[in-house]
Amino acid sequence: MNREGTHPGTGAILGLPESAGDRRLARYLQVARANPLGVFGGVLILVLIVVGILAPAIAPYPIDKFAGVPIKAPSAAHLFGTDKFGRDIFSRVVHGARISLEVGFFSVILGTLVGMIIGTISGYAGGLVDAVIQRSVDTAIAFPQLILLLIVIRVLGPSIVNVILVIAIGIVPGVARVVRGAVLSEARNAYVEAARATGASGARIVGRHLVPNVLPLTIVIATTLLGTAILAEASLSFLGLGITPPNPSWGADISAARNSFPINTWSALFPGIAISLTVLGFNLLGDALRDILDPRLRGSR
Amino acid sequence: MASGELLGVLRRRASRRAAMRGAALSSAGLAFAIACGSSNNNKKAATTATSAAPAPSGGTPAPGGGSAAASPAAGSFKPAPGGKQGGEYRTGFTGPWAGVDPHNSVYGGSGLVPIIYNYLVRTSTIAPDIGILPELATAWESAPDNLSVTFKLRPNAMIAENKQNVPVRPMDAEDAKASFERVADPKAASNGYSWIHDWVDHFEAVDKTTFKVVTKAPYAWVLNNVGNNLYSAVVPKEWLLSPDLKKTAVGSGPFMLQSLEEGGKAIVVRNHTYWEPGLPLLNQITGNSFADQATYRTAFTSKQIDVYGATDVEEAKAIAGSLKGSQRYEDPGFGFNSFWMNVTQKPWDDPRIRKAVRRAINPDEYIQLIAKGLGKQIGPLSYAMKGYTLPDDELKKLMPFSIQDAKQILQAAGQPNLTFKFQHPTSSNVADYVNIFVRQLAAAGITAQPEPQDAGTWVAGYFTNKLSASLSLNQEYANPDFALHWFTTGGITGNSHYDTGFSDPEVDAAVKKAAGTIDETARKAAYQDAQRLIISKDPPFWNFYGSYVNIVVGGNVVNYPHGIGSLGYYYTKNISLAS
Amino acid sequence: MQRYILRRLLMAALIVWAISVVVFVLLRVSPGDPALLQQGINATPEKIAAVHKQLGLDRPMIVQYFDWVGKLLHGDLGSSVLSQTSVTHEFRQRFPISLELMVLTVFWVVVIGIPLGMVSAIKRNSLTDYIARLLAIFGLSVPAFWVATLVLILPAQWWGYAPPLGRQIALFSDPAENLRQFLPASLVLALGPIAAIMRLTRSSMLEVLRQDYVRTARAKGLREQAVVFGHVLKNSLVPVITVLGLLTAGLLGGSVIIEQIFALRGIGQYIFMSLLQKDFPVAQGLVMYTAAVVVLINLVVDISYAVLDPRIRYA
Repeated sequence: MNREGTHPGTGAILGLPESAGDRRLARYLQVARANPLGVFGGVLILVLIVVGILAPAIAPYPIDKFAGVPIKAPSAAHLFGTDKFGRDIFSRVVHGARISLEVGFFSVILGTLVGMIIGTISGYAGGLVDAVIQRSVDTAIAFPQLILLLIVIRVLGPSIVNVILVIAIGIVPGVARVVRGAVLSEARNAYVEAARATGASGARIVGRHLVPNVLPLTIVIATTLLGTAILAEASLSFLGLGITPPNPSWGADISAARNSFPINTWSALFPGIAISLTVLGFNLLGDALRDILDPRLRGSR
Repeated sequence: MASGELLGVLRRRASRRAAMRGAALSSAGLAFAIACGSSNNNKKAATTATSAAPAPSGGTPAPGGGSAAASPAAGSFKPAPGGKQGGEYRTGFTGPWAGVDPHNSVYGGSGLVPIIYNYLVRTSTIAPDIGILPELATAWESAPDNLSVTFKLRPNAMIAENKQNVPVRPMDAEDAKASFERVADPKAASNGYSWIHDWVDHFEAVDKTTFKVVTKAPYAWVLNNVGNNLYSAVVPKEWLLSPDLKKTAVGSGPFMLQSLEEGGKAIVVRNHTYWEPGLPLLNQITGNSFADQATYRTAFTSKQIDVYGATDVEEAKAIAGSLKGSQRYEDPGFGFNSFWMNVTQKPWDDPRIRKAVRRAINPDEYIQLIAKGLGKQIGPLSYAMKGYTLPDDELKKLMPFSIQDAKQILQAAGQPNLTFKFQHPTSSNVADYVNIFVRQLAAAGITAQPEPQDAGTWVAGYFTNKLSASLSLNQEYANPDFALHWFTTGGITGNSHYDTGFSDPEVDAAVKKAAGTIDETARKAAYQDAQRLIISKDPPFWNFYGSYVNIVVGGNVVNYPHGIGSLGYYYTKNISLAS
Repeated sequence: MQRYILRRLLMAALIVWAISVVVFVLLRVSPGDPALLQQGINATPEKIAAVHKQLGLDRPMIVQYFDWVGKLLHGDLGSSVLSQTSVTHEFRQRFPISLELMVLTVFWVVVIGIPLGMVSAIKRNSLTDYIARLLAIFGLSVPAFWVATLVLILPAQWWGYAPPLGRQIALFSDPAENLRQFLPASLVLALGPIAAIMRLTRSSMLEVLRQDYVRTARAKGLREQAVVFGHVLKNSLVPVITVLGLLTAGLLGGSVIIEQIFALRGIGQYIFMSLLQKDFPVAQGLVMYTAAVVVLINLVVDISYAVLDPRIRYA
């Protein structure tokens, strides 16, 4: 330990004078150590992302190849066993990761962005604009969520893009509401008044003051929403209204497994585990981020 | 001409609408099972075993418990005599009930109608050995000029006691006339409309017990259509006028409808005034409508229902094996899944393209992977229409699997890298076909791009002929005449809906001629010729394979009518429970 | 105060109206013609036209909308396109099932979630706490439909056991069987909410426990502690009750997936079926009902908040 009481940075270990980068690294490590679950969650997500990106390389078989004897338990040739067509479950789960991530990330990014914009406009503009937007948001939130998804996906038709759109639409109202609340409380702060007094334009205030302060909250929400989005996609696909075959979707695969007898336990088990671990990762990460980025949100650790 | 001549092999039309509606529900098939458990593959009635069908086990029961069961002569079913009175028989299916319109239901309701109402006769094309069974009609006779059939009705078929103010009196010829005239009305939207519209001149109630069907020209399928359980129920004429016609039922059949809950269960109970002494044996039949196959199956394996229609033979074997005393049946059926091409759009207007695509298809792969080996390659008519289908070896020659050929034809047609889009409804059953289909075509250098569609969109596109090509759901035709209307001008409905646009006067003539051929032997030959002709034209519609129906029946059930298709409804009154 | 209530009432009415419009339009815009879906082949143009006329689909959308709203206000929800049964009749049959499912689910949540959360808060950072929190986060992460699938299918496969499926057993005619039917479904449905409530209870309680008066009470001794504990409980449960209220509201609309898997003839399954079949009257009526319930409960919660905390009124 050096004089400041912090761990020596890599530079110090190597005998070089300590740099800002080292101190940042040390801080990150400290944060990491204080949030082991969050780190675990982050690792889970990282593994998932890697698997998703490298899916074609990792998966030993193509997703639609009838590679083995149907409904076989896990073996060396088929890590997770085979489904009713003899397709390798492991390969399908791996490719499913890619699709889940795609849907999850795009829908959340889209939904959060739009929600943030709407919420910021609503909170900052106030008055009639705010009232109208608020009421619309309330309406959307009052709509039973799954039903809303079902109706809209029926309107749009089955495809990955539409699933992303539908889930994004489901995300927007909640984000808008939260962001609006945050913007309202931020806007009351003195520095905003000051900025306005000095003649700063609305856009400038929003851009330089409000958004950056609202950002941490949004990131926290977005992280948890990633888990929710993936669950939503799985549910939709389970009901047959989301990702259509032959694309491998975890939810759809569980549904297919359910419909064969003897129930293909493996085909039902592994995608479910995959979903659970994924959502778990995002939840853990989201929790940790919330604790780190915005102490006010903490549920008192 | 004596009625005997018409007895032999008259077929009944089955409904394609069944499959269409099945298509409309993305999660449910349209199977229902009151008398006959049927599978999830949108098959309407369990049409079953016949004599020479070289099915792997020929429609004989495969026992689940290990003890060998006596196998009846394949193709005909006769209920063993006797049986305990009483008991509640529980069945199930996936899909909605959708009402009990006697001439217009194809979901669950179509399993209730045939046991609540009576028909003039009962017959099934799958069970030629049984022939035609009398019901309301005790005798029938064709006029010498073959332009009419006269039915003699029994005087003692009493309308069941009811709370709908329908008088309790014997059914008569007026009821028959009113019933068929309703079917003839296009507003009723009954499947029976087309045969009546095309062939019937008028119906006549000569007197209370004499009913006559007069046709415009000799027509071979009168008895078959009149015995079709989907659209030929004879309904009390007062009841036909009731606004509740779809919601409940008043008939003269062995059972009465006590209650019907959409999405829940239906209860039918014994009709005490049914004319056959001692029948029906059961006190009550309870039908359960399940939201999906998994729940349906679980209900059976946990013994909450007595009969189950499996999705394939492997599942049926596994379930039967795990349930002591259960019986398993591999019943031949009319169902098939098909590929449909709109010949008014490119590239399907070129018969060479149609031929090439068909050459790239290997039916065996579908049979192995989807039906788990229990299926048969078939031409335009199902293998189950005995005597009407083309022989296996000829079929293989006429519609071979040859990637070589496919490639050569495409080359010659100037489209070596053919690419096309096709639509299909999003149901998991169809998805399995899509998988294999795309892969098989790719092997011949053809790129088939699936466009999954919401069921509603798909049906609408189908109805208006907007689809370019489509992988459809299972279909089923028990009547060669109906089945071959896919290839006639105007399509299956005759009014150019669901129409491929294919039109060939030679084909039209051949189909019409076959339907008018009264002599049975000549008729069979005429249908075979018609099929050869159709195949030679590279038809815009062909099927992947003919499927079987896989049923598992609990050990407690006695006299389950298997192997005879929708004739099974007739024998529901003979079902009993062992305990 | 009255002005606040009035304002909220008006907004609630506005929202319900907006939902009615959105549902109406969305359903008619989605592809598929209910007449066609119902009739399928041999859907002669005459019949399609007849069904359209019967459903009123041949009129302009505005007219259809007001006609529907008019009937709605008189309590007439119309009839199912598919089965001709009246929506109200079906609803009355199915509502008790969704209701029972909801009551049982909330029961589990209250009986398991809240105590767990309390224990977790009190024994903060202990092993018990960590385990409970881990379990909770698992509960939030597993998909309900997956658990439901396993819970239903595995016992059936291994032991031939399944809860009653397909037939509905009334609570009062056979309580044991009825509970057998609803137990697995309600437990699975409660999984996520238990986790959420547990976490909420915990954090809420910790928040309250941190405050000064609690520390002072601790310093002052047991009797004070008991009094304060009661106080703590009351305060920490406020947000919990809010969320429970919202949960109840959501569950009153039935649960599509759980009802489907466990073959419970509830509202959720009814909505789902009607959406698939484009059964307009049913879908519209049910969505309105579900949304109205949520809005109403939100309204009640908001108003009770305002009653309890005057500052909110002026927000």
